[in-house]
Amino acid sequence: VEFPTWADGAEITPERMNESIRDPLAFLTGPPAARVIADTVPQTAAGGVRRITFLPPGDARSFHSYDTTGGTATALRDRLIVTVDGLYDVHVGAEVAPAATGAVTYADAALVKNSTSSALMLSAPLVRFPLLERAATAWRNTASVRLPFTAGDWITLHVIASGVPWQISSDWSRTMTFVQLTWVGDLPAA
Amino acid sequence: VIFLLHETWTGREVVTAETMNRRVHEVHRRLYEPPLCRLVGMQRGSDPAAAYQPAMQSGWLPGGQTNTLHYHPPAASPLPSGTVDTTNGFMARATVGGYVWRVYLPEDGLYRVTCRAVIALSRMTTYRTVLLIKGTSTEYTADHLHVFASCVPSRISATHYAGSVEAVVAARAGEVVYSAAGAGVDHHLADDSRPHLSSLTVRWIGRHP
Repeated sequence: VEFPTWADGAEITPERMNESIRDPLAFLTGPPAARVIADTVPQTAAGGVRRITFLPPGDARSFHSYDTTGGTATALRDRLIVTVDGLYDVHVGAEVAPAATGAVTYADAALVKNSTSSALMLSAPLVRFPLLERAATAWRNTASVRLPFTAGDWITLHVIASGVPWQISSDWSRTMTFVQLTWVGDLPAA
Repeated sequence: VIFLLHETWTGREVVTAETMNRRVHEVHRRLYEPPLCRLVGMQRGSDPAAAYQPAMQSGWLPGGQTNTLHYHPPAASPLPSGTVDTTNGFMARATVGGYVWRVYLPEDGLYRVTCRAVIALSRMTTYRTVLLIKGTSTEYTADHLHVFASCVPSRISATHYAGSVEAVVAARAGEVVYSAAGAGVDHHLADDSRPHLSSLTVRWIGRHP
C-alpha cells in the first residue's frame, strides 16, 4: 500500500490528489476482507480429519459471505488468500455433527498456513481451538486472533472429531463453519 | 451519518472548502470515530427464589429455549464508562420495557460484532450456546440462515457459563444485529450482579463489499 509523500515544489495535480488522498482513504475505509462458509463434509470416520472446502461468495447457499478483493482472496475453494501485507483479524468457526449412532468424544478445528496438509493441524497449526458440545447433535465453537501475513499467504481450515463418524451437514453445521480475514493495519516495522 | 463517496478530483476543478471537507475531513473523522455501539447486558430471567425484580422478567427462562439477550440503554447503563453509542441513539434504541435487544446499523458496511455473555443455570447441562444474528427491523429469526457465528460458553463457576464470540458481518443500512443465547435447562441470561460479564459491541470497520 503506497502513501505518497508531498514534496516541495511538486505540482498539485488532480492525479496527485487522487493517488495521495482519494486512494489511500479508499483503502483505509474499504480494507481487504473476505469471508467464506463451508461446503458440506460427507460422513467421515471417527478420528478422521478433513480439510474444509468453502462455498464461493455469491453462491446462493453462502450466507454472509463476501470478498472485498474482487475475488482474489476467495479464488480457490479450499483457502483464503492474503492479497496485501498486513495485520489481519482472523475469525474462524466450526461445527461437526455425529453421522451415526453414538457420541462425539472430542472435536477440534485448526487453521494451517500455506499448506493443505491436515497433518499440520496437529503438529504446526496457525490457530487451533476446541469444539464444545452445544448438544449431542452439534459440537461447535469460534476463535478470534490477530496475525501478521504477507501478500500471497493463504490459510486452510481442518476439522477432526472422534468417538463416532461425523459430518458437516447442509444447514447449521455448514453455516457455523467459516473463516474470515480482515486487514486492520500495516505490518509492524522489523 | 456520513456516507463515503471517494470522489475523484478532475482537471481544472476548483478545490473548495466544501469538497475538501467532504473528501478529506469527513473521511478522516469516519476513520477516527466510526459508528460504534457498546452495550452492557441486562439480566433476563432470574432464580425464582430470588427477590422479585420486574425488569428481570422474574423466573427461569425455560430450558431448551433460545432467547435474545437484553442490554441496558446507554443512558441507564450500570457501567457508564463501558457503554457508548457514537450515533446518538441511532444504533441503540430501547424498546418497550426499557431494554435494547438489537442494534440498528446506520449505513452499508462491514461491522465487527462482539458478544460476551454469561448464562446462569438452575443445574448443570451440556447444552448452552450464544449466537450472533443479522436481520431487519421486521424480519429476524435465530435460524441458520441468519446466525453468522456461534460459540459454546464454558463453565466459570458452579452455576455460570461464560462465552465470547466475534465475527465481521456485511450489512445494509437499517439492518440489525443482535445476540441470543440458550441452555438445556432452566436458566437466566446475563447477570446484573456481574455486569462486566455480558456486553455487545458493534463497530463499523469498512465499506460494504
